[in-house]
Amino acid sequence: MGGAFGGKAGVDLEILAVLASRAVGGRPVRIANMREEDIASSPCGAGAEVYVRLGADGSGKFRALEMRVLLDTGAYADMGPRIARAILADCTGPYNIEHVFCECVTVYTNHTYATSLRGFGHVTSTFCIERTVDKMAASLRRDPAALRAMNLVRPGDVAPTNFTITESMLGNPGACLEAVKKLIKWDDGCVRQEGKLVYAKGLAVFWKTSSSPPDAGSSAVVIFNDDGSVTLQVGCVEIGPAMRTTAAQICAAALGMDVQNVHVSMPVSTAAAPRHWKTVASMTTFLLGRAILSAVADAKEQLGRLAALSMRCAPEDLEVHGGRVFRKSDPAQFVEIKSICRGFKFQNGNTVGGRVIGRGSVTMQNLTTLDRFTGHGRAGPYWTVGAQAVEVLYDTSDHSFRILKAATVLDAGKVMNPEAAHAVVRGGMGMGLSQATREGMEFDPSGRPLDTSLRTYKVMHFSQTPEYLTQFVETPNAEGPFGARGIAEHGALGMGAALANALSKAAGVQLDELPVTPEKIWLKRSEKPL
Amino acid sequence: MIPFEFEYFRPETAEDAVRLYHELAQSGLEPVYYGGGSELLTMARAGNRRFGAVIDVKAIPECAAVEEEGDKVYFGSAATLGAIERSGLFPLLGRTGARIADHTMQLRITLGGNIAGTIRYREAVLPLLLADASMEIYTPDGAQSVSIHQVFSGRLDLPPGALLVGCRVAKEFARARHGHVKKTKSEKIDYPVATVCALDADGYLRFAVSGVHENPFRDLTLEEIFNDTRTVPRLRADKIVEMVRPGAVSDVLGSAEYRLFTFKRALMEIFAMEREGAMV
Repeated sequence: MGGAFGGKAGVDLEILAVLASRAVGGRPVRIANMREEDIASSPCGAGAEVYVRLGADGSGKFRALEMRVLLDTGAYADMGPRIARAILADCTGPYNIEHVFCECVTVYTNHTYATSLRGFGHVTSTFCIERTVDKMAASLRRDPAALRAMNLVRPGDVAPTNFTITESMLGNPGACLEAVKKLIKWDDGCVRQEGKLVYAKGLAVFWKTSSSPPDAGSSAVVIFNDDGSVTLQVGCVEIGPAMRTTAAQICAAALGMDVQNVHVSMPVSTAAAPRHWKTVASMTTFLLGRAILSAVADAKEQLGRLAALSMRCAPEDLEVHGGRVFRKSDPAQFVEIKSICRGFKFQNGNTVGGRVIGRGSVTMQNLTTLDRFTGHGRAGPYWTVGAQAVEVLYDTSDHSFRILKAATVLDAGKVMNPEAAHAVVRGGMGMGLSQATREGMEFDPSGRPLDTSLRTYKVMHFSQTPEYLTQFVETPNAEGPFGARGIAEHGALGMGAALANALSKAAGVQLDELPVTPEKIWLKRSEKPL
Repeated sequence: MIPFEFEYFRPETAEDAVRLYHELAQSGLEPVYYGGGSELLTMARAGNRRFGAVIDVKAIPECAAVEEEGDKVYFGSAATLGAIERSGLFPLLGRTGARIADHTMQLRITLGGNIAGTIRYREAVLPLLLADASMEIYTPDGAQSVSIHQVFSGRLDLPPGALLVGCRVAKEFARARHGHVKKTKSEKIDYPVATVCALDADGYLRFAVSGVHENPFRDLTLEEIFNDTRTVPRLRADKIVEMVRPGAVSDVLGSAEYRLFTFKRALMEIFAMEREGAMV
């Protein structure tokens, strides 16, 4: 369980290791940060200051968006410009807005430098857009959920970077919103006061596509063993979210065989394993899954050719399923895979063919870099959309709060492994809520980090976690393996926004800064004339 | 990793421990008394503390004991916060300790470590200040029993090498009605922005505070204001806050003004508990 959540994407310790190794004549060296050094000097999430203007007409239809993002990526650029580009490409959130101006400036500061962190800028952009949408709803006196529903992007609309969106690319944000409203019981009311306590609910919707290079790819090798089982070689590294299980499931489903008979080779040998771009961007299932399907198709073709010899028919009349190759017109005529996967042996001992090894390789398709001046282009292959909600219990006497419930509905395209899918989304929600309520690097005026120890840098403890409610919508992604979309980062994306929306309502002040803490609410309330 | 060498001793009597301390100190080894280690180990790892010898006091029976003694209760300095809470002998001390750290750490952090350590909040001392605890000290001259008010003023002030063996509290205080209010930045288990412990001594409410000032304190003048029923509670709280204001700390956990706000809330909650009979 777990993950690196982007922390391995930046180049940091590698530089030191190279320098240290050179100093000792190229011998191996080991670099280990202590926790305090890691927090202070290894890359963290990017900070941002964002200015948003949203224009709507009298009916509530969003007409124009202007957004300026100053991205604090610390002392080195590293992933900063790519995060900026990712924010730009999805800047509107899942809304159809005709007129969009978005500028994202990566700013060098004397803060700890930033790298990718679960969401790749989308936690920031979602927070800003979704807080603005709630304010718009308040000034139009509209239900925030209804205002969102009427403005959600739909197939046929144009993406912020100027291409026409299809259902396969988008999924169904409206269905996610409807489902999350039910989970959080939105229509039962959003604010309720009982003495000094206020119960309040907040919503957020989001979308995210990947920001990979246009040639990011993956590959897989499917090797049949003597007993008919399969060894699957892949290049992507398991860092927590059960990628190997997913890989085995995809391979087994494509071959119509028991998942127990698929052995995913581990650990990854970079000397021998086919290359996988990176285990990042919620793209592993998509890229690796496609590579596995391509390798399985290649293996099936080889099996078909070998079985055709034995069954005296054309390979195209055969099908592979359940450890057998059989005739489509008469499944009673079959040959076991294990009897042909080392090559077909004639009765007199002559053998033809050889071990069946399927290979598959894919890259992203039709992605472009964004035009430098217009921002036009296509950053990712599809979106994963979702809706989230939070219910808080706010204490008006000391401004403390508890998160009672948190709900997420994602359009997963196809849920491959329900238990793992719910778990990865809940994990993301916990991370998002922890960031939204506790986490944030604090610096003194000279840029020195103040929180370099887990004594004071608190993550949400287990006893403080809310009840998690998770659900999936399945709108197939035509290019994804079995229709799947990535879901790894998305649980975190809208949590801060939904929480701040709930607490802003509960406390009657605008909470526009993360993390939201009782002290910040107290400050806002103190500024407010009574 | 602790980046320096040190020697380890585990004496079985307070006398041995204190003698060992002085011998080691004389040979220049910079010894430290060691209980749970949560502070020493982490500070040593981070390079904030060096020592040449560790004298583990957990094997000394008086340091480890948690027990009733007639009309008194006794807590050894090496008793963990967890053990003290489970004993139920001094519920206010138990509750205060249970909010100092997560469960895992409650089973390591000792009473003596929390009181004598360098982490400034020292919340475990609050109930002891309220209960006029007697502190059992061992020095080269032998065992002594002194009032907590003689040796604790913001921090524990003992002669070098003196060992805090344990604390003794009269049952009338240990079982008195009490209140505990802790306000943190966000996470439930964290250092206090303000912690207030209150204890009912024959209808007179004593209280002690951690988090607001650099060090924990109990102030008899403030207690008089707190108990002055001629004024309404809110005004009493306001007056106390004004008197406390000059020493309020600003740091990453909260600004001085916010600390004072939460301190006042904590006082008001104690008043409310008292009014509603919620003190147990």
